[in-house]
Order: sequence, then C-alpha cells, then structure tokens
Amino acid sequence: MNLLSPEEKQKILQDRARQLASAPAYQQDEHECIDITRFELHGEHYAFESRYIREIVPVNHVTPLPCVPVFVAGIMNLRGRILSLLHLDRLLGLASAGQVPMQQVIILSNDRMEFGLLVEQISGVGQLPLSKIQDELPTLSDQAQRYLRGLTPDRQILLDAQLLLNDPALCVDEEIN
Amino acid sequence: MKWTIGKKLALLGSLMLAALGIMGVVTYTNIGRVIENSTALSRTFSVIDANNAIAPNLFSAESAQRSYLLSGSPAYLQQYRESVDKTRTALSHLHELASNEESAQLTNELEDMLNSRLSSLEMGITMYDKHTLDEYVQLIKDGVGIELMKKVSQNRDAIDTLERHLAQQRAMELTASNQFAQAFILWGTLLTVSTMAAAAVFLVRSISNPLHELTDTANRISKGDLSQRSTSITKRSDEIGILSEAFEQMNDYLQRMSNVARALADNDLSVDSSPLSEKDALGHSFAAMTANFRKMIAEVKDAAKQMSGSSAQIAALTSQLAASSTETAAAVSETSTTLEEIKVTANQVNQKSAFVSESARSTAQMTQNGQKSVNETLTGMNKIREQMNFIAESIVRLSEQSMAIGEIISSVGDLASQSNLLAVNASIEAAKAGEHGKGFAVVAQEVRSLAEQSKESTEQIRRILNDIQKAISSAVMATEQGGKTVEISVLQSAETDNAIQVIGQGAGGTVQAAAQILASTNEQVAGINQVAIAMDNIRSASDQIVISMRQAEDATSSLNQMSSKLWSLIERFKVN
Repeated sequence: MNLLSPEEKQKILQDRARQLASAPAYQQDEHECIDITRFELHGEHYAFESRYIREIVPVNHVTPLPCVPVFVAGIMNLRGRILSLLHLDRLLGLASAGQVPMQQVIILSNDRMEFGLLVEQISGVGQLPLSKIQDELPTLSDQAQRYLRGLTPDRQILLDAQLLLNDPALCVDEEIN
Repeated sequence: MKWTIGKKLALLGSLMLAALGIMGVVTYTNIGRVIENSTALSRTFSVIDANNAIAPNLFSAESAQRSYLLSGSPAYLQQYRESVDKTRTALSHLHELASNEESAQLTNELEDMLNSRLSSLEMGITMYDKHTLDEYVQLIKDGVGIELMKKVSQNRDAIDTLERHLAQQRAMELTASNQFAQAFILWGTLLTVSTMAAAAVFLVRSISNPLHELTDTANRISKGDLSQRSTSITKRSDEIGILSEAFEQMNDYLQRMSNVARALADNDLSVDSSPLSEKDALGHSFAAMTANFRKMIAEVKDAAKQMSGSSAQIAALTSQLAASSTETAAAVSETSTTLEEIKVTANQVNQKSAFVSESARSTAQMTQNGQKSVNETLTGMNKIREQMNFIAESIVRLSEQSMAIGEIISSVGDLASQSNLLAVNASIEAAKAGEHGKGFAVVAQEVRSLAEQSKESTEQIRRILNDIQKAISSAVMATEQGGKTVEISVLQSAETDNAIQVIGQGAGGTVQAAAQILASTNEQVAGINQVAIAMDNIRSASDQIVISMRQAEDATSSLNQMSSKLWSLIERFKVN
C-alpha cells in the first residue's frame, strides 16, 4: 500500500474538516419537533427540551452547603429567590469534574421541582424532530444512561429533564442533629 | 817528707820562736826579779814614806786639837779630824807595807803608841765638849804625851833604819841580776840574728826567684802569651811547685779557652766548651756564648731556609702574576673592542627608542580621536535611548488604550452574551408559548443572531485587538530589544570608551615609557662612552702593571739569589 504524501494527507484532512465545519442545514420538518436547548459540558454536547427549561442565567455566586451530596453545588440567589444548584457533570458521572468553570445555569423547573444545573456554555436553541432521536450510546456511564433521552443526529446527547426533575434521589433531606 | 816552703818557713819560724822564747824566758825571769827587787825597794821607800807621813799628820792633829781647844772653832775640829784620818791611813798603809817580822813588830808597837796618843787627843776634845778641859790640861801638864812622843819617834827611827838597810840590800841584788840579763840578751840576740839571717837569705832565694818567674809568666799570660812554660819550677815539690802547677793549669785553661775561641772563629760551633766547674766564669760564658751562637745560627738557618722558601714562592707568584697580568691586558683589550660594539648597538637602540617614542605619541593622539568619536557615539546612543523611551511611552499609552478598548469590548461581549442568553431565554419562552410564540421565536431568533453578530464583531474586534496587542507587544518587545540593544550599545560604547581610555592611558603610559626609554638609552649611550674611556684607562693601567710585574720579577729573582747566598753563608757553620 502506498503511503500518502503529506500534501495529500493534508488535503484529505482539510476536506473532512470542511465537511464537519459546515453547519447543519436548517430543516423545517413536518414531523413533530421539539425545541431543545443545546449546551456544552466537558467537551460534550448535550441538550435539554426547552419545555422544561425555565430560564438560563449566568452564574453569579454559588454558596456551598455543608452536609450535602457531592452533586449539590450549593445555592444561588436569583433575583431574590434561593435556587439550588447541582453539578450536572457529577450527576452524569462524568470524569474530570470541576476543571472547566461553569458559567451558565440552566434552570429546570416543573410544577414541583426547580433547580439549576451548572453547565459550561449554552450553544443555542433549536428544533429536533422526534424521529431523529436515536437511542443507546454505550459509551455513556450508567448514571448518564439513566437520564439519557436519546441522541441527536449530530451526536448531541438529549437528556431527560423530566426524569431529572422527578428524580427523588436528587432530593436532599438532611437533618443535622 | 816534702820540704815545702811552709815547712821551711815553719822551721825557721820555730827556730826563731825558740830563740825568742829562750830569750824571753830569761828576760822574763830577769825582769821578774828586777820587778821583785824594784817592788821591794819601792815598798821599802813606801814604808819610809808612810813612816814619815805619820809624824806630820800626828803633829797636825795635835796642833789642830790644841787650836780647837783654845778657840773652839769648828774649823780646827775639822782639821783635827782630817789629820787623824790621815794618820790612821798612813798607819794602816805602814801595816800593809811591813815586809818582815821585825818591821811588823815595830809597826805594831807604833800603832799601839799612836792609838794611845790619838785616844788621848780624842779624850781632850771630848773633855772640851763636856767643858772639862781642865782635866785634860792637867794631863798635859803631867807630860804623858811627851814620853809617848819620844817613843813614837824612836820607833819610827828604828823602822826607818831597818827599811833603809833593806833597800840598800835590794839595790845591790838588782844591779847584779840586771847585769846578767844584759849579757845574756846581747849574746843570744847576736846568735839568733846571725842564724836567722842565713836562713832567711836561703829561704828568700828559694821563694822569690820562682815567684819572679811566676810573675813573669803571669805578666805574659796577662798579655795573652800562653806559649811559655816554666817546667823547672813545676817539678818542685813545695808550694811554689804547686803554684807553678796551678799556673800551668791556668795556662792550659786559657789555652783551652783560646782553642775554643779559635774553633768558634773557624765557624765550628760543635766544639765542646763545657765549663770545668761551677765557678768557671769564662767557661760558663763561653758555653753560653756557644749555646747562644748555636741557637742563633739554628734560628738564622731556619729563617734563611724560610726566606729562601718564601723568596722562591714570591718568585713563582710574581711570574704567575706577570703571566696573569698579561692575560688581563689581553682580556681588557678584548673588552674594549666589545665595548665599541656595544656602543654601536646602544646608538641603534637609542634611535629605535626615539622612533618608538614618536609612534607612541601618534598613537596617543589617535586614541584621543577615537575617544572623541566614542563620545559622539555615546551621545547618539543616548539620543536613541531617549527616542526609544519616547516610543516606549507611546506604546505604553497605546497599550493602555487598547486595554481600555479591550475592556469595552469585553463589556460589549458581555452585553452580547447576555443578549444571547436573553435571546435563548426568549426562544425558550417562545417555545413554551407554543404556537403563539412563533413570531416571538423569530424575534428571539433575530435577537439571537444579532447577539451572535455582535459577538462575532466583538470576536473580530477582539482578534484585531489581539493582533494589535501582539503587534504592540512585539513592538514593545522590539522596543525593549531596541532599548536593550541601545543599552548594550551604550554599554559597549562605554566599554569602548573605557577601552579607548585604557588604550589612551596605555598610550600615554607608552609615551611616557618611550620617553623614559629614550632618556635612559641616551644615558646608556653616555654611560657606555664613559665605560669605553674607562676601559682605555684600564688598558693603559694594565700595561703598566705588566711592566711593573716584570720589574717585580727581576727584584724577586735577585732576592732569591741573595737568600741562597745567605744560606750558603749559614751552611758553613758546623753545628754538631
């Protein structure tokens, strides 16, 4: 087999890069779409349904709490309201937690629960056809699998916000004697 | 038995003595008799005198006593006492002189009578003293004294007659013995004289002639003539012979001494001149003289040997010295030639050092020029540095302003992100609103795209700013580098300045050193000239030394000859 010359290799790589760099075409799809909000976390792209997202705010000050589980970041003051923050990466069991500063907070809320999730960067909003949601990514950890809703075609992990909100494991009910 | 002169003389003497003795004896006995007779005669006369002395004294005593009795003057008493004493003295005298029985008897009678008379006189005085003089006068009148006085004078006359008779007898005897002695002496003397004369003549002849001869010999010896000997006399057995022998011995001794002296005069010091005895003065002197002479000769021999040795050494040394002084003269002339060469070399060195001095001076001048250029460079460098500082300040201002722009941009970016967030929230709300929110979703989308654009613009601006920053930083770096370079250049210029200064100093030092070298080479040349002159002097002096050495050599050889001559003179002396 011939070895490719460096110029040929470069050319191939650049073609690939261009392909990958091109933004996906905006598709107005007939099928049912959901609005998702994309964000980044530890170099991975995730997404939530926008339905459950109440607000996205930049993080100002996180007050840590004692005697809380590890995924609890603390509390935050949002326009006079106390909002509890959680480490999404720890919730998902992602490695190398806490190295990149979390700048944005996605406030998930439903009628019962409301909390904020620390994320790195909001990539944007968009619409996702339900049909294009793929299942099963074996490389995810078990915890992530739990909250996994699906995968988007451009390999964004759609997390189940409903599940998160309704998870009783996230309720911290500690008493200090 | 040897009839020595002494014995002869003794015999003669004894004969004479015998004759003399006989005569003497005879005369002695004669004279003894004469003396006896004379003594007896004189005694007799003394008796007579004593006898005669009694009466006046007695009368004087009587007279004195009477005077005293009459006058009572103590002077008469004194006279009386004296007269009594004299009487008694004469009486005792008479007693002593009484020679035969008859006269003794008469004397005794006289004494008795005198005693009674004197006692009566005494009695008279006593009576006077007691003033009983009348009794005494009575006594006197009785005539006691007259009888006594008559008896006294009778006695006295008897004594007188007796004594005169005796005297006459004795005188006759005396005359007879005198006559005998006279005859004897006369004949005896005649005999003795004749005998003695004969013997004396004989003896004298036997003594005085040899003595004359010996005197002649002694005279001759005193004049130094030791040749003659008188053997006839020597053969005699008496003192003359001994004396002559002694003279012979003395002659021999003197001959011996003269032989020794002759031997000494003939340079024979080995002759035996030991003294014959402790008291041999001449022998001692000769012995001392020979010993001293030997010692002296031995010492002179040693000295002569040493002197000959030394003179030989001196001769050798002077010849060595002559040789070495010739060598020295040769060396001196060589040195002189070398000096000439050195003079030439010194002159060359002098010229070269003048040249060096000149070039050093020009070097100094050039360093000064270099220094000036360096100073100018420094000024330029300083100006550059000022400009650099100015540029740095400008850049700093630029940087500040770009930082301000950056801040503004960041705030704009913040605004954009917040707008973005807002847009996202808006779209989320729009999504939540469902159908009614679609228009709003579009608006939200537009806001979002606006925000995106702003973000992009800010990104661009940021990029430009980054570029500006980079450029600024590169400019700053360049400026810094430029500043550093300027600094380095300044340092280098300073170093160059230092170096040039050092060079200048060195050049100055070199100039000074060159000047000094020049001066010293001048002195050197002068000194070498002087040394050359001195060398010439030395050369002439060494020539003179050579001449003197030759003379000294001659002198030493003559000294050597003289010492060998002395040695030969000394050698003649035979010492043992």
